[in-house]
Amino acid sequence: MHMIYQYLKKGRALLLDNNIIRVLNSFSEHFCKILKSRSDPISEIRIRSNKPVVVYISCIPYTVTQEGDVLPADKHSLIRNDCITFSSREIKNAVARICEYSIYKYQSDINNGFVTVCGGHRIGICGTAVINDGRIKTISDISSVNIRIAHEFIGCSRELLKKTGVKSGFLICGVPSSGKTTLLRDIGRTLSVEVPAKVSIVDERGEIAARFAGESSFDTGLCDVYSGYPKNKAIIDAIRTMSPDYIICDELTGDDVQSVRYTLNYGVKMIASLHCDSLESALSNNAVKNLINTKAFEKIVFLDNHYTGKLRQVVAMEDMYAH
Amino acid sequence: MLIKTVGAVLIMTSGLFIGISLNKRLTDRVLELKEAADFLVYVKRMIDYEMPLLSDLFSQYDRERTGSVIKTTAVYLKTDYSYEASVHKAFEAAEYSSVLDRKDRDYLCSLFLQLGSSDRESQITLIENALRQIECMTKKAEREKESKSKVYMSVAVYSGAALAILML
Repeated sequence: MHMIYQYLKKGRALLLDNNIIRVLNSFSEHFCKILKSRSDPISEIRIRSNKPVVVYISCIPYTVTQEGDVLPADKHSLIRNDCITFSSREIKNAVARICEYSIYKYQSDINNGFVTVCGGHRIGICGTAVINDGRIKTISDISSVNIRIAHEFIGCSRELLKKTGVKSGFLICGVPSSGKTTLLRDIGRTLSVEVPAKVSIVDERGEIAARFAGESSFDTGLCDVYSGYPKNKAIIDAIRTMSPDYIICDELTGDDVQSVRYTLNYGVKMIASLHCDSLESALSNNAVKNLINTKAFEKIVFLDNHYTGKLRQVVAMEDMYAH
Repeated sequence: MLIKTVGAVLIMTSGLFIGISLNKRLTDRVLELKEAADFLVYVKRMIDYEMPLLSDLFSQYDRERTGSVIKTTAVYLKTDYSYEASVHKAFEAAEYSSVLDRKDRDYLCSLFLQLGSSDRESQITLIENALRQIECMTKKAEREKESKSKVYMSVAVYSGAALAILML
């Protein structure tokens, strides 16, 4: 369970794979060369229009200069003239290159605020929404891009599964970048291969299995992956056609309560993640309480807010309200 | 006398060939514009149903004539060039080898650069507008072909005949 955290703590290089190198080259070869030459564990790269690029190394922000120096991001380094920056036009051209000059193919993802590239890396996109008939038609004037580098840690879920067991469903709660998706991915692989059980993965945003051109970028074992499907449709289809023992799902919200109850009716165990930073905020959030009250989850796992992949506590449902 | 006769025949034949090649250029221009329209219809259909990558659309379109800008763009796309660079290179190469005139080339180049740059609905609208524009360009090219082909053939044949007569 601590594998992700231990890996990052030791400062082991999370190497930039060819897919990320291609993404970085879309911005600038010089910028790509600087990051390639470093052996730091980079987890995120934030690029904002005409602002210094910020690189997150072990969750700490750094700026990058034209000479290739990587400096801690603070009020002094952020105002330097030699920081690498990209204009709005350069960001737009880079996004076009990342989408292989086929924006129409990626438009629905762009409208949802991200593009997933080969390798499972997610590029968050932020700009000016063009609204038509009450829905986002496209994003113009892209002002910010966040490149989240995805990593796979085989076996990182073993310790968690020892604490939760495999006989029932559970929720994994944590803040963004706490390691929820990485854990879900490994849980799917472990359950489908080592138990072995029938596992369906509902990968609405394409981050768990990161299927690209029909192939999973990550090892999801023998899971059946519903990539890009809306959650409720995928859950119903999975139960009707794949007869899963487990359904794995990322980022549940209050709107998914009905779907979660549906799995209960068919004896399918649900393992899912949720954005929630603590037990107290879980108990004070109605959406979370509604999900918990479905009784589909026997345990809730809370991840550490500061260290990626570190377990903070496992709470059994019957003990939830006692806390 | 025999040599003069042969010479005269050769001059007349050359004149005829010059006329035919000028005519062919006009015909090829019409065909290339029709092919561009055909390609856009194919792109529109594919974007509407399958949404493949733009580079795949160029390489899978199998009806292009040798030397056409579409085929040349597809060739450059198979190398390391980006889509933008491939289009620019293809149209640079077309400056000397293509039968399209400068206005046609500039229009098609800017159109190709806009392909893939927006959402599906906008792409379909762009292609539909482009098809209407290309239809006008094709009709204009056909009218030009009709009026100029007679002139070219006449000038070529009569010049050839005149030179032949002078020789004789």
